[in-house]
Amino acid sequence: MPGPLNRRTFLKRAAATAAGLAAAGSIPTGIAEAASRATRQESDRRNLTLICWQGYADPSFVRPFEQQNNCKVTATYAGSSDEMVAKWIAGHGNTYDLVSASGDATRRFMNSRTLLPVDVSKLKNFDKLFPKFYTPVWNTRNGQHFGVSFTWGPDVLIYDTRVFKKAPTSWHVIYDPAYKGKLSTADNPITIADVALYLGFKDCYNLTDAQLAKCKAQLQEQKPLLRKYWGGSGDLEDAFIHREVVASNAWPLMTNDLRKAHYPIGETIPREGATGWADTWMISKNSPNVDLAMKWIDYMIGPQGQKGVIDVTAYSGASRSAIPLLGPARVKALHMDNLSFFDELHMWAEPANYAKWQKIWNDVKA
Amino acid sequence: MLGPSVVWLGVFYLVPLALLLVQSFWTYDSVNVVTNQTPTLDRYRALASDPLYRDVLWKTVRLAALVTVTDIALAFPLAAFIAFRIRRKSLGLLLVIIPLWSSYLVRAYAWRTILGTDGVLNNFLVWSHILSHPSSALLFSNTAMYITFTHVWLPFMVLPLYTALEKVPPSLMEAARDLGANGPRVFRHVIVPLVLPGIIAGSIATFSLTMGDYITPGLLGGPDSNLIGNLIFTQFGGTLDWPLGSAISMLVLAVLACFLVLASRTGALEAQ
Amino acid sequence: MSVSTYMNAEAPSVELRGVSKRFGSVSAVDDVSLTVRKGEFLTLLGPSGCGKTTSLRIVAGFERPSGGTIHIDGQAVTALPPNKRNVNTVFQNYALFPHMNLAENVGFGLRMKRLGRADIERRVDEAMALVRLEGLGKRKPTQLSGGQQQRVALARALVNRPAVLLLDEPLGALDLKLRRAMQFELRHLNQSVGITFIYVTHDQEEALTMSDRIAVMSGGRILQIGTAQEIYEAPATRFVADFIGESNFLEGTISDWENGVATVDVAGAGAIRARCVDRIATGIPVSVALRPERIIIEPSEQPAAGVGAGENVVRGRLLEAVYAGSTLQYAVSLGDAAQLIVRSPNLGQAAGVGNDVSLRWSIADCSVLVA
Repeated sequence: MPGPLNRRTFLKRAAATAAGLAAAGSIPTGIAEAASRATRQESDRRNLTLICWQGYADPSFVRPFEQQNNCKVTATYAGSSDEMVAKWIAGHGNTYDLVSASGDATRRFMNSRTLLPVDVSKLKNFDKLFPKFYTPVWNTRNGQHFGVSFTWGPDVLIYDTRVFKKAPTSWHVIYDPAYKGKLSTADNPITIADVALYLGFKDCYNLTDAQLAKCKAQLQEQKPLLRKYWGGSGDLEDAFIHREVVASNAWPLMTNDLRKAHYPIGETIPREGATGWADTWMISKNSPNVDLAMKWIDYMIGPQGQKGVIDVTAYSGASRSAIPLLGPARVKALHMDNLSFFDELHMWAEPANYAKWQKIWNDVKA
Repeated sequence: MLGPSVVWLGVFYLVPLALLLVQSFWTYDSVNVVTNQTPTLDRYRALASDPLYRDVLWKTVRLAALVTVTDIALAFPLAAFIAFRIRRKSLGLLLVIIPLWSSYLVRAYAWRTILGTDGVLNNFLVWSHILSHPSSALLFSNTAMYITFTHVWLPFMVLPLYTALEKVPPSLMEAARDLGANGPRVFRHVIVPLVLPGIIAGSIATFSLTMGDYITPGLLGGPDSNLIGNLIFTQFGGTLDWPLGSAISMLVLAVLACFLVLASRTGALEAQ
Repeated sequence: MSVSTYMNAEAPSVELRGVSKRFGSVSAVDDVSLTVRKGEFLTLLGPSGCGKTTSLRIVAGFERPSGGTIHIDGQAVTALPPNKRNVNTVFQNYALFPHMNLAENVGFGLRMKRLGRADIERRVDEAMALVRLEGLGKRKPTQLSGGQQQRVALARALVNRPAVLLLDEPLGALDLKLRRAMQFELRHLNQSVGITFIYVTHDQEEALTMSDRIAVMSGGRILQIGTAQEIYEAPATRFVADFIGESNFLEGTISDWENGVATVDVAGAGAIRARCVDRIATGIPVSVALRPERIIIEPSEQPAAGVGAGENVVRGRLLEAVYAGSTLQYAVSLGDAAQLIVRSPNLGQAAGVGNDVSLRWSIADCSVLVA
């Protein structure tokens, strides 16, 4: 079987040529990073590099970690799992030490053979995880751990409370022509699973071709109603604040941020159900900072890290460490008291025919 | 001393293009996340069989042509004004170039602010009673892309056009008037033929810049605004099907090559 | 359409009435009035900056005058733009259209008049033949020599049969021999085609050989208009006398005036009688202009043969003798107070430097200039 290609050379040259001929300054950050990381070495003050979802490297909990371990943490935010996979694989695992992989991408990460198996016995906070997250199928293979989960949460429906006096009860609102030009949805092929749920396909990650065709048709119906697709939390929050959008699927992070900005936002899970996700920190096998990476994981499933990330994102923690710090009201709101809510969500899993999902997504967007 | 420039061109331009071309004949195994290097026309067949790529390519070419024509129309008065009407020409040119010093992203975001539902333009249109309520067609639409491209690429059209206009000896324009030509006829018979190389140079810039762009559609385009640049970007960024991305890139290069052939036919690329 | 078909036969071809042009505080053209007859070859002559080119451009229509009016064939054209005037210009740098071949260049004006293809072709051929460039229609201007380009510019202007042809120093870029040949050709064209030529140059020899009349300009004003002979023989001002040909100037004061002849007291030379049309009061300081070639130089020992009442005679010392091939040039000092330059044809005579010599010339050959 042919070995994996060294992508670094191609990324630097080919993507640069394909992306634009002019010096308009639109070189993807991945290239700049790959170039600088190509000769990354351990230095006196060590640098831990992450690629992760927004909110996972907030200074409020990163600073204490940096101080405690005398290091620097640099993070790149990505808006979709596809983007994370692309950037990780392009650098052949050399660009970043850690990635916060969601369940729809972990399979690709594990298949790429760029991950370091994690020796969980070295993590002192590991046993504080909820038992569900000890050996979940999305990050454990044949008993080997390829990462540790630290947060989880739903994909929610958020809405402008001035427009929807009562919380909508169905996902129908984001397919409703009554709100034409004021809707948004995540620019991510995994969103097809949400469409599948709306259409009643309960096994939303195992879709037959016929079911996929129906999802595609639904997406195509939805497209003219959209103001835009959102690529990241900032993108969607911006759209709400400027009153471009009144309803969209989103993560609790957006609700949290918009509430902090005093925007009249509401959040709900409609009756058709919701998809959800659990994020796992995975380590690159080429990382020169493995021990620091392990410390990071331990920190993030420990009390300080968990509290920090929950405060910033309003996601639910995978660990019990922060329960004393959050207080019973919040623990209940975040469904961290008995995790039955977790079972209700259709957690992101990577469909076997994911390439078809990507093709459908591209076709619809074109 | 052609040597160094040929080496430069070779290393930074021809070699990457050759690598892209070679890659377009490979395939991508999404299951195992590897590239299969056995040469095959499979990716090109995928291109040819799926109308998606044709449609998006055509959409992009149309937009690029529209942007180019608009920029020519806008650049002409501006370049002519600087060349003929003001004394401090370098100041005029500086004002045209200054926007280029700010990042492209900054300018694109600026348009997002201007064209938004609660943006400056909509506020003005409502305040002046031209519209009864803000128009949502201004942002996240093909119109927004068209406006942004036209604005952002304009300096690239003004500069070559200015250079060409500056080189036209004023005595030629006087001679034409002396021989009975009025303003428009001087323009048509003397100015345009002589500045044609400048127009072509600017057009090559605006056309190819639009053909390769994927940022503006993402920031300012609507759900329907994917351009060929976005398709390429998705292959390299999301789908990881680099062979397909390379094949699409080759397609774009073919279109640009046709454009260059047409341009050279007009004789505009020959040195004066 | 040729205005000349409706022309009033009495009206002059070109008339400038009190034309002036200011650029900021500078007056490039200052109250210029001029009448040019039909078919005349009139030259505007003067040093650079005298306003001759600006005046020409005003006639062409490239400059709007700050004051005054311009008339062509009796019609006021001051407000008309260049493309509406029945006037064509031959530019100093020819201004041929580089992107058109010769035939297209020459035919441009006819195309602007929307003539038919066949007509244009015929007239272009005629014009090219007129300037002896037949058969070169397909060439581009860059493929021609300077002289050829100049003739194309001429053909391009003449093919339109304008009422007036304006030429702005068209021969400046040519070498001497070619220039002489072209001067001849231009003169010939003017006479055969019958179009009025207004010609601008700083070269006085050119002006003298080609023109029917010359208008000498300086500082935006016309100092004198006349035929070559009038200008040369009777310059109206010191500037004109100095600019055209060479001139000696003897400074003195008026002591008498009678019947168009003034007597001037010149230090070192005594009483000199000179032509003076208008009466000037005694005591006024004046200059006497005298051309070097009009002076006869003789060794003072020789008897003063043929000295008549119509001659001035002075004695001086020969300071310098220059051998200039066909002429001999002498510098003679008059009593150490004045100096005269004398130019004599080389007839083999010699005069020794340092010797006393006597100079004589006809009264009619010198004139009084006030300023």
